[in-house]
This record gives sequence, C-alpha cells and structure tokens, in this order.
Amino acid sequence: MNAQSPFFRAATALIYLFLLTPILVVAIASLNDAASLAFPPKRLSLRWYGAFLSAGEFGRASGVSLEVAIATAVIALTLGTAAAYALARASLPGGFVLLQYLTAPLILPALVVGLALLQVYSRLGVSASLASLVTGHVVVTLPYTVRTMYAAFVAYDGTLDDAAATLGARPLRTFFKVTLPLVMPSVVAGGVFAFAISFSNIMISAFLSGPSTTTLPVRMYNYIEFANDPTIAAISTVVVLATFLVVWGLHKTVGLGGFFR
Amino acid sequence: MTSARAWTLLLPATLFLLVAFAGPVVFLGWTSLIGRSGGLGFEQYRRFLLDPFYRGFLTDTVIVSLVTTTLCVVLAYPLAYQLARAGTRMRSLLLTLLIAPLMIGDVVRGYGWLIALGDYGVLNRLLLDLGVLTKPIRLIFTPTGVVIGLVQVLLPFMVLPLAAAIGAISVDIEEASLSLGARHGRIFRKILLPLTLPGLAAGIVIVFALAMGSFAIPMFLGGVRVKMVGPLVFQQAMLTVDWPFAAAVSSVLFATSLLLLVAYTRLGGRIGRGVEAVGR
Repeated sequence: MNAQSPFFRAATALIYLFLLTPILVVAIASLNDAASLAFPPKRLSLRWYGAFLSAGEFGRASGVSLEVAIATAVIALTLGTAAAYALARASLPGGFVLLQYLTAPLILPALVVGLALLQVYSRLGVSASLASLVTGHVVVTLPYTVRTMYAAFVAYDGTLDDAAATLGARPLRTFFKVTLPLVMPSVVAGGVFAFAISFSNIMISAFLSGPSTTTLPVRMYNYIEFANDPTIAAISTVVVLATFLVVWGLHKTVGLGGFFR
Repeated sequence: MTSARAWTLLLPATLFLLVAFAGPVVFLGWTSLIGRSGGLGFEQYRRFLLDPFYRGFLTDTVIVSLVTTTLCVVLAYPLAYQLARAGTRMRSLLLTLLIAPLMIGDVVRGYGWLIALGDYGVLNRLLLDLGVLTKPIRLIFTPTGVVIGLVQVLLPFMVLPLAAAIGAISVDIEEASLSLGARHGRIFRKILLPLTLPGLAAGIVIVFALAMGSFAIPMFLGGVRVKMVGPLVFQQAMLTVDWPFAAAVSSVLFATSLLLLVAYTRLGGRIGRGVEAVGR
C-alpha cells in the first residue's frame, strides 16, 4: 500500500465519509423545520431541540441513563482494576484463562446476557430496578476496563513499587500513592469508555429496562417506532456532539494514540 | 505480590461474572430444554434447526455476517495502514473519527441509516436528482441495508487490531523492499498480509461474532423482512413470550460464539486486542 498516492488518500477519505454518514445525516436532519424527514431541509430551525428539552419523558430517560452509566463505570472500573492488577503483577497459574474469562462478554453476544439475566430475575422474583439494570451493564463493560487496566499495569514499571516498599510503604499505601496516580490516564480512559458504552447501550436495556428505569436509547427506540419527526435527530445530535467532545478531550488529556507498541 | 493477595483482588470480578453472567447463561441453557408440553428434551432446538421457516433465520444471519466480515476486512486494511503510518496529529484525528462512532450507540446510527437509505432518503434523492435512477431503489428492509449498517458499526473493531499489527512492523522492511524493486501490491502480499495475520484473525473473530449477535441494526434496517437471529430472540422473548424457544435460539448463538472464542484462543489470540487502544 502506498499511503502517499492520491488514489489511496481518496479511498480512505471515502471510507471515513461512509463511517460518518449516519452521524452527519442525523445532524442535518435535526435542523429541518418541517415535521417530516425531508432531506435536505427546506427551512432550518432549532425547534426540535426545544421539543427534546420540553418533552419530560426524554429528560427522565436521560437522567436514568446518566445514573446507570455512572454507576456502571464506577463498578466496572473498581472490579476491573483490582482484577487486572492481580493478573498483570502476579504470575498465577491459569492467569491467561482468567483474563479470557473476564473479557469473554466482549465477544459473546450481549443479547444472550440480557435474556439470561431477565430469566434469572423473573425466576427469583427480582423486579426491574436501577440495580438490576446496572448489573447487566457491568457485565458488558467489564471487558473494556479489564483490558485497559491490564495493558496499563503490564506497561507499568514495577521497580517504582519496590522503591516505595523499600522506603517502608505498605502495599495498600504504595498502590494508592504511587501506582494509581501513575496509571490514572488509563483509569480515566477505561471509565469514560465504560460510561459511553453503558450510556448508549440498547441490547441489555431492551431486556432489563422497566417502566421506571427506561433508558434514553430505549425511549428513543420506542419513539421512532410510532413517530417520524426530527426530535430523535435532535437528541441524537446532542449525544453525537457530546461523544465527539469527550473522545477529543480524552485524546488531549490522556491520549488515544499509544497502542502501537 | 503474594498469590493469596492476588486471588483476593481477582475474587470480586470473578464472582460477579459467575453470578451475573456464567450462572444465568447456564440457567438459560436449562430453560431451552423445556418442551412445549413441559417435558425436558431438545424439542426447541429441533424446531429452530429443522423447521424450514426458522432455519432461514440461521442461514440468513450467517450469510449477512460473512458478507459483513469480508467487507470489513477489505475496507479496514487501507484505514489500518493509514492509521499505523500516520504522524502524531493525523493519528489523533483518525483515532477520534474511528472511536467516537463506536461510542455513539446503535440507536443513533440505525436511525441515521434509516434517514440515509430510506426509499426517499438521502441516497435515493441524490441518485434521483442526478438522473441515475428513475425510481428509488429499496435498501432498507433488505439484507443489503443490514450489511451496510453492520459494516459501519463493526469496521472499527477490525481496524484497531489490524493497525496495532501493522504498527508493529518496522517501516524499514517496507522501504528495503521498495528499494529492491518490489511493487506496493507485492509488499502487501509478501510482507503486510503474512505479518498481520494474527491481527486479522482477531478482527475477523470479533466482527463475525458481533454481527451474528447483532440486534439493533437488524431491527432498524431489516425490519421483519430480513430474518436475523438477534431480532428473533427479542421478539420470541418479549412479544411472543416463548422463553424456552428464545433460550434455545440464544443458546445456539452463544455456542457458536463460544466455539469461535475457543478456536481463537487456541490460535494464541487475546480477546479485545486493540481495545486498550483508548487506554494508553
């Protein structure tokens, strides 16, 4: 492959355009004044953003999604960091198998996770709540935090911990005062990734959301089924802009580019 | 670290997945054995795998997933190569463009494709206005539409491990081959392709598995006309409320993915290579 050739550049630019198509289309459609999805819009307006803000159902759903995503990120990060630290720093028999086990939900269908949990909940008489929803979300986000933290701890220079120990710091103190601050970029990245995946998740929430715990993606999906106005496009655009800002901010602060090792 | 302490640290995550993942999946397997008359057996599996109506779901899903995976491989190589060989500033732009769509979620993307590919959507309008078409072509509610949506959603999962693999190959090797007179096509066949096979395998396994288990994109772009396993599970579980049948279908899906996973691990792969991308 010749990265300098105009043909190569044009080809990759086209593929990126393809990747961004649904996002761009949604952003443009959200500015359409008419209540149907005409494209391109004949008159521009921000009224659908107003419709989003004034419709209480979307506000409530956004609140639920935020709560779920924050709880999910915190739990997945805590469980994932502890496990990744042990796997990276101690050579345990069966450590590789355990790493595969902890990251397996990434590749095994999330749909099955949702249905399996739903059946267990129903059997045990657990009703839909934030906790039951968060449990499902943690299962699918844990692989991301484990992977991110495992990579960070493998790259971490262990002699720093030895130095702290030599100077008399106990293991717990060493971890919180030396190790953790040094891997903080990965903690932030893993947490943000878990948050974003939980916030936009539909597969798990479709099974586990209850009437009082309807998440934003589920509410949007239900809305699309019976209405065809650009409100959803407006909400989508807000989500898209926030996501790009977060990813860009993440890149500026902790970096996205370090995986070519 | 003492191994006792290591096991203590591993315990919460391991136990959590045991209770919230492994256990429920086993329970699901048990549910799938309940027949329509209440007895235990493989009746639900026979229904899914032998009944011509339901068998169509499995074959269509496999075909859609295979086509999706193939297209992802073809489109991912140029992107991965460009990403791996880009300078720092370009790389950060490309990574943002790749990773942000990954975080945006299936509902927004499915909805976007609906507007883009609909009968009077962006693409059809454009082609009609340009005079290329005289009447709109049908893309949504066809397998083609589902494939387009899935490729867009899953492409980053192929690009990231491939880019990591290409990044590990020294530029010197390529330059040496060039100076010895090898053409770009030949360098790709003789150097890049063989050296990126592990990354490629990682991408293929993950993309195929995610396509097989996909749900929101086929719901949006396939509707009821494209028979995909994901929507079938949802419909059987939540609308028909036939849990044993839904359990059997998802068990087949789960077993397929598990086989892929084991084969992949045997080949020395680690799940989610490149996922730590964001982490460092």
